[in-house]
Amino acid sequence: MMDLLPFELQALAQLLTGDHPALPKLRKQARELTVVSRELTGAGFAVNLAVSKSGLAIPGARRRILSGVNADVVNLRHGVGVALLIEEGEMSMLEGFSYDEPWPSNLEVVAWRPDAARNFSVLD
Amino acid sequence: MVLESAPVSAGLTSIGTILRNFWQWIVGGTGVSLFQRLGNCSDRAQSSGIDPNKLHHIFGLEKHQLGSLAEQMGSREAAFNAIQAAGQSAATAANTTSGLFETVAKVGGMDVWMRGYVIEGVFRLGSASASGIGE
Repeated sequence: MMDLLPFELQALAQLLTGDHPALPKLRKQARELTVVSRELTGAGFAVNLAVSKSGLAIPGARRRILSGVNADVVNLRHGVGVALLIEEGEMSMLEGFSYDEPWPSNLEVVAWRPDAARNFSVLD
Repeated sequence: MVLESAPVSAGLTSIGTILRNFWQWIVGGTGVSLFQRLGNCSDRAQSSGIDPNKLHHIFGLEKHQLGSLAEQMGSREAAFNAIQAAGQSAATAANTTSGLFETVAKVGGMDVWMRGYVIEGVFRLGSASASGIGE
């Protein structure tokens, strides 16, 4: 069974930081994650996820994208973005992507930068 | 004998010409290297000006659910340009001339989430996905 890589764990922690009432349950999901598969696309990565414990789904829309987080990384002028796809209330895919530059072979994070006004309304 | 050997000779000459032309193509009569020539093939693949890796990231990841949009628009490139144009319109409307920009916009009747970076007024797509809004 694959585990999340250090950058992916950091990205998930950043994405799940905030005050929205759905976030504590998503953090519980994060402790019960299984990595189903991982793909490097050359412009980013995608990790398909499954939550191994039942009863942790958040209510609401069938499909949501939680994002609004960027990271400054070495050798990329505009950094990288990360986003979390939530399907049927459970984490389904974590992705990272670059902007106008290839995804670096060596990803070295300098700082995480959540957007000034992150939009948590997708979790309502 | 002459009549029989002439076509053989002509054939050999033709083969020689082909081989010579091929070699010329490889070494390049204009000083263009083989690697540059092979690179040109790759350039043709990228003639749309869109990074093929970016196209794969956005449309090849199944969970983005944008395959139907590419089908509807005729190609991944056309769908990419439509998403990029929608992002550009939204960024312009929001007076964002530089920095990160994220929005959900209608593209081909579909609500598409997109996040990109505005560089000198131009929206550069980072990723996009069917947003699921309204589902």
